[in-house]
Amino acid sequence: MMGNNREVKVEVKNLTKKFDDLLVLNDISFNIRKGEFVCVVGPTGCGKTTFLNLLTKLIEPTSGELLIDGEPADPKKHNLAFVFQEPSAFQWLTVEENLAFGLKIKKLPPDEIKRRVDNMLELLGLTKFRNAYPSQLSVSSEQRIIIGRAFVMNPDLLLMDEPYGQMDIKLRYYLEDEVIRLWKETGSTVVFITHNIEEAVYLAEKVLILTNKPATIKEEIEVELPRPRDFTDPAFIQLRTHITDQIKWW
Amino acid sequence: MDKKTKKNKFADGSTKYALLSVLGIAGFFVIWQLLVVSGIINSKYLAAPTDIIKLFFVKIAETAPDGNTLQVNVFSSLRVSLLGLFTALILGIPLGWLMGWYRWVDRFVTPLFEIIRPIPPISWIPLTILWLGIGLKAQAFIIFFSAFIPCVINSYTGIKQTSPVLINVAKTFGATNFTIFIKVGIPSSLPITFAGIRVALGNSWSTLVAAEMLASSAGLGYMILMGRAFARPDIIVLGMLVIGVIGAIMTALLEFAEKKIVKWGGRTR
Amino acid sequence: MKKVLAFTLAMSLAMGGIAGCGEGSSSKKETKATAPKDSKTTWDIEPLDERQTLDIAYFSGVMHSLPIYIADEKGWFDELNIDLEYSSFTSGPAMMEANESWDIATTGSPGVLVGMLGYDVYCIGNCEYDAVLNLYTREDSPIYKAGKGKVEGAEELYGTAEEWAGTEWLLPVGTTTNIVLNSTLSLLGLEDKDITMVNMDNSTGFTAFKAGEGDGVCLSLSVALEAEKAGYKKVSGLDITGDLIECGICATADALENKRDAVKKFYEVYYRASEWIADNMEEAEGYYLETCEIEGIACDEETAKYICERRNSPTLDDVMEQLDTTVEYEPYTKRAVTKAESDLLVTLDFFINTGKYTDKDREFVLDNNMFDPSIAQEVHKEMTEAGRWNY
Repeated sequence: MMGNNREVKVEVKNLTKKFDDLLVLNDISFNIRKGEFVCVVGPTGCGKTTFLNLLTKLIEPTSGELLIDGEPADPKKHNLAFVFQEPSAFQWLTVEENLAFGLKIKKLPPDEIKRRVDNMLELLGLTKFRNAYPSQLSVSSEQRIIIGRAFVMNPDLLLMDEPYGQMDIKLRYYLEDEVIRLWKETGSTVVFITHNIEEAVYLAEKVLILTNKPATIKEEIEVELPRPRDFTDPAFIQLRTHITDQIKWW
Repeated sequence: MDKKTKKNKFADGSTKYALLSVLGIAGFFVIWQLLVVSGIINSKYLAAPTDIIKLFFVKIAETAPDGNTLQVNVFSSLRVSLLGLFTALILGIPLGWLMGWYRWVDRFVTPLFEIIRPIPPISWIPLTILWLGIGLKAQAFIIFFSAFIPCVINSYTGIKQTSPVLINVAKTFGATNFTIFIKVGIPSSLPITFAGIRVALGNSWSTLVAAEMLASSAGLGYMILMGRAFARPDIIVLGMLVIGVIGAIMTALLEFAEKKIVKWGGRTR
Repeated sequence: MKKVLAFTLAMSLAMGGIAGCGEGSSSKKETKATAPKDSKTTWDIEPLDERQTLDIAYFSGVMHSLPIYIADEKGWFDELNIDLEYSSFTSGPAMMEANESWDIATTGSPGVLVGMLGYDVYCIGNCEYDAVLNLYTREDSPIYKAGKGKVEGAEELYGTAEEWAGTEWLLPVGTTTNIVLNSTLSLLGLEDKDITMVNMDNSTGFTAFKAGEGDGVCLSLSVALEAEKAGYKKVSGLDITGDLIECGICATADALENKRDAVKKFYEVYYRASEWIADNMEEAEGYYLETCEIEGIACDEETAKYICERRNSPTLDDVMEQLDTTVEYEPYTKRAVTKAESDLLVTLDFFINTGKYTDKDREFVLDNNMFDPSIAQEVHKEMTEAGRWNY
């Protein structure tokens, strides 16, 4: 269990986003600690993806601030990684090259890149597929490459937007464990969006519940269950039920 | 050959299909030969394949009626069409990419491009004479024109359909717009760009006859024109066949190059 | 479904409209009632029993097709129960290629040869001799500056071998203009290889020349006159070299067999019209101008006058004389060669010497009597018997 004396990595202050007249995010404020695993849940269409896009500066906020290590967020300065909902492997790069992509953008020294990529290949168990192309692997392997590509950056902030949305249960469980494993290995700060409450409770240290549009933070819930978590644990189920209720009755 | 290998040879479909292709071409020539030999088609209007093959070997030494041996004509045509084609590739593909990626380039170039696009290459001949005189440069320009358009269009289309998700991945990693252009846009566009190159190759080779009408004294198109002027339908057919065969060879070479460059099988999302 | 039908209808209407207004080269005269046999005709020729159509391959903008146009305009075919349908051409070989679609054609000797050698087309008479085939240079050309009269027998020829050697000429290779260039070289004591020839047709060649390409250009007819007006200098020409380049009337084997009567009547009217032109030059110039306008060839009154003045066409009497006279012709001795044939053979010999045709081709033309005198002979006989032969 990580203590609450970790330093603050990400500060979100009064974040507001309007698209023309449509107010999507309304004055959201919260902090994320270094190395924390946060899940964001909320009703469909409440603005979770917009929220993530703001965090990675793909779009600009209407007002409010987003600070990483005390500075305004900047993909060029900060080390960010994003796992999108849609498959996003580069089809023309091998597994190895895909993993190295972000590291090359950040201009890391070649031997460092090699070290990290080799390591990640090991972690993912894909070493013998290093020269294969994503189209030659299964969809799940492809998604794992994408997750690996994100984690290999040791990012200041790693965002994941319902990355397992398309997958069946067995695969989901497997990948959820995988992401926890990678998180523990790399100590990255993770913001994970999901509509699957069970998944949120399984993964998160903290769950942020968003309301419907215009979204604000309804509640911040600390999840202090031991790992590996047990879906059948009554404490687990209680948390899950509570969060579900919070979402149902907006 | 043991039984196992023999079985595998036919179980593997590729041999079967190769056989079919060979049969197709062979059958075509056999029917053609029969039609001429039996007199159904007047040999004055269409020479038999055997005569064409004979002529092929004769023409390697004989310069009549166009004044060049066959190899001289082939070389001359290849020179013109490849010069035009490569210029089109070098100018057209990057232009298409830039137009597809940078909005200001698009706005600037597209209106002009859309006006030029429908103009048939041969109608450029009079202006070409004025600007480039006659000879290799002018002929290559006509061919350049026919190849340039598909290069631009396809590389433009290819890069425009770059997956926004992939762009965002690179953006999140902190890549500049130019880096994304090079590392994501261009590779993403390659399958469609290559389709454009294929069309450009076909166009450049088939515009050849038109280009060689422009002050030529050699070339396969010129040879065909001379065959027409001197009642030599066999020369005409030989010219057409050689043009066809060389075109097929070039397409095969292009496919080979494509496989080497587009190693991943062509998916982009 | 409705949308599909509407679209298809719109497309076919559009196609029809486009097809209708595009093809200006085929025209049809209104079919008139069949003229009765004993009504008087302009040349006293008997009309056909039944109306018949002759498909004509019409060479645009040249003298040898003018008689056809004039005769048609004046109704000299119509009164014989002959309707004409035209297809236009600007090249002899292309005309011959399309021989399935016509019965009678007039064209220059290169085209005649293509028809004879490749398409079972017979020449049934010489109808004209080329007149305006000129070589032009720019004013500052060494050839022009050297002045004329340096070569004996060719007082109007400019320059000597020295200035001509190494020059570059734009011309349609393998056509009658080529013959004039080669004859010029002979007069100067030069050969093909002493100059460079670049293959370009009349108008493209002239455009290139104006743009600065080449040292000289070989042009014919109205384009030649354009060159003169533009200030370019004529340094040689067919009138200087004295080349005899004939144009012939041709008929397909099919027409000779199945439309023989119509062909014969056409033949007679053609030469009558040709002779009429000689007697009515001014009116003929007007008709020539008309045909140029219809065919889309640039021409004005001055040009029409110039070209018509230089017309060199045989009468029917001349044609018969050519067929009755034999000449000495070394390359072929299996039978006597007529003067008519030998005029055509001038062109064939030129091509054989420059490697375009072979001796076998010559043998073919003469062995198979591709120059067919029978129509002329039959017409002559009929005219004599009917008392029309008034030469």
